[in-house]
Amino acid sequence: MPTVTASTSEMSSAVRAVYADALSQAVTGELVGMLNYSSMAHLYEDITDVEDAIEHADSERRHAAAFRRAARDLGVEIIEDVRAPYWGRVRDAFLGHVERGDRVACTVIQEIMLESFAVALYDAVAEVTEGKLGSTFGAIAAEEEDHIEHAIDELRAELENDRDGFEEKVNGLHNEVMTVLAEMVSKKDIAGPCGLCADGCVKDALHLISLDAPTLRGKALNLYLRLLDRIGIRGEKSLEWVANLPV
Amino acid sequence: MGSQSAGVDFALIGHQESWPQISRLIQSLRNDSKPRLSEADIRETVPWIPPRTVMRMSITSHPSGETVRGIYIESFITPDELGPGHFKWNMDKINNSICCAAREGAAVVSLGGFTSIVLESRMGGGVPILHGIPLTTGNTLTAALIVQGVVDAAARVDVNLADSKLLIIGSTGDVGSACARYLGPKVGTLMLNARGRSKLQAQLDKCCASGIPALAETNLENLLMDADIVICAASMVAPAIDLARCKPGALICDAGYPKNVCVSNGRTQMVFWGGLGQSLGGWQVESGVLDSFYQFPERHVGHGCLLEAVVLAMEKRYESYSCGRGNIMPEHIDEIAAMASHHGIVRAPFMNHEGLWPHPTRDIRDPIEHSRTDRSRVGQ
Repeated sequence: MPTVTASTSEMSSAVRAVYADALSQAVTGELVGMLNYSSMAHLYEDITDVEDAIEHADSERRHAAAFRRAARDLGVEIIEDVRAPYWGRVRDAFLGHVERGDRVACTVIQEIMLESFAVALYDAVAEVTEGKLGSTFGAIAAEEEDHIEHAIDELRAELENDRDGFEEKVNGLHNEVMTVLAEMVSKKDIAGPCGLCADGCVKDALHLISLDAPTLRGKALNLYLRLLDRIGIRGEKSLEWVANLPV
Repeated sequence: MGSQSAGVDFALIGHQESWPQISRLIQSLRNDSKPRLSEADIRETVPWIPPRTVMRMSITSHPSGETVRGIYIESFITPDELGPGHFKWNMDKINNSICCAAREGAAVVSLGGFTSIVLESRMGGGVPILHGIPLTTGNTLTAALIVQGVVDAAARVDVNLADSKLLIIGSTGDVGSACARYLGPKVGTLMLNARGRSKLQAQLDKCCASGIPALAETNLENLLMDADIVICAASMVAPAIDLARCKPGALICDAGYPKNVCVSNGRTQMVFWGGLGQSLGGWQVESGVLDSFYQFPERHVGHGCLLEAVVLAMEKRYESYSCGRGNIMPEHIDEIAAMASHHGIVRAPFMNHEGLWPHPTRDIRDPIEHSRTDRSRVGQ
């Protein structure tokens, strides 16, 4: 796997700009996660569950802070906007399920859909990035995986309780949220610019750090499907869902 | 590991042999309202899809009417990944496919096409049971259907097997060597071809020791023009055998997966796809996915390697029937053929890329007539 150095002295301004856009996405995504977990805290009655949600929200806040520090070390400005076009749609969808008091839907969106994208993308960046920046992405990916583990058992129990009903619910959530995420990582900006890239779309410049949009999308979908498998969703169902995503 | 539905009688693990086939599979899953994906888009997505069940089916034994339930697991090993450079990636996909079968509670699993490498290769360890499930390559039934096809087709086109020169391409492989052992004593001359010189020499030595008139060459070109009958059973990533280099009028059984023979117009050779079986009891599939990539001119036709697990499930013989390389003896071929026949799983009608062979009353060299079926031997 080719790697690029994250040493600020050796990095070209073009490469630095790619990392700046990647960090803008990462910080914004973590902040959306922080808000989502905070919203979920209101859905629980058991104080332990509330504490867990708050702890997860704090974890996302710390991740955002770590990415901000990475940007500062790199000497780049980043854009933070939880109302940016795609992220705003994701957050709105999530809030809709909070209003309905649907904890299962919130868990699926945050801990399966968003986290699988985060882990896959952070891992991909970590693989091609040396130095402190690479380890920041790698370490946060590992912590996000813990969040995923937290959700698997809970969701599997939901599925075993009512397989058809659960799969139907996840299908609906998939159409609502994964479609937005797939649009965001598609080769072209299907629904317009993401609002977080400083200049042109970062997807056109990913090759500068030995990445490309189809690989990022593929890794994210791979992890997402494997998580759905672990929950116990039938493979033919999840395949159909993914086959219908925008490319 | 996530839990799944109650156990199934069999699982079939496979992969697609061409990108157009994969495209049809993916397109069949897309809603009509969605735009069609380009093949380029599909090529960027499919390699990332983890192995998974893509359809559930039940297959009926004929004439008993008993049914067995099973699944088809697509490994999503793509045609571009069949070369040696993807060994670890593919082994992961095959292992994950077997995990998928375990999640589904499969009682026996067929490893179709390239995925049988787990059981055939030394590097894979040749472990016949993984995750508590017996695995079979399905190669014995494949070989049985090939040899039945060759014998029947030769009779059909008036080729005297006993006087003929039979060339087996990929003769040292599991399927090729099984065919050689079975048909060697029945033909005039056995012509062996494989890439590895030492294995080929050892095979030739065995044939000669058994009194079978045989010759062997690693250079295929030296043999093709001389053979009356050709069995193509080589592991190839894409078709590479040019019919123009074959003897005019030769009988060609393409049993490769992916196929070995480059199809061409104006050919004079009689080509049929070998190793295919047909379920006379039929099958029911819970979705239309199968029709998208399993496109044969007859219904209920499938690859022998996959049908072997079905036969074993019907027989309630949950075992690694075909395992390793070079272990398939003529008695195994006869046994699996008898078991398959007992459940109405028989050699598929002769067919190729142009459709079914014409009816037996017509000359096989006439233009192909697609609407008629060769059932001259089916079910016998």
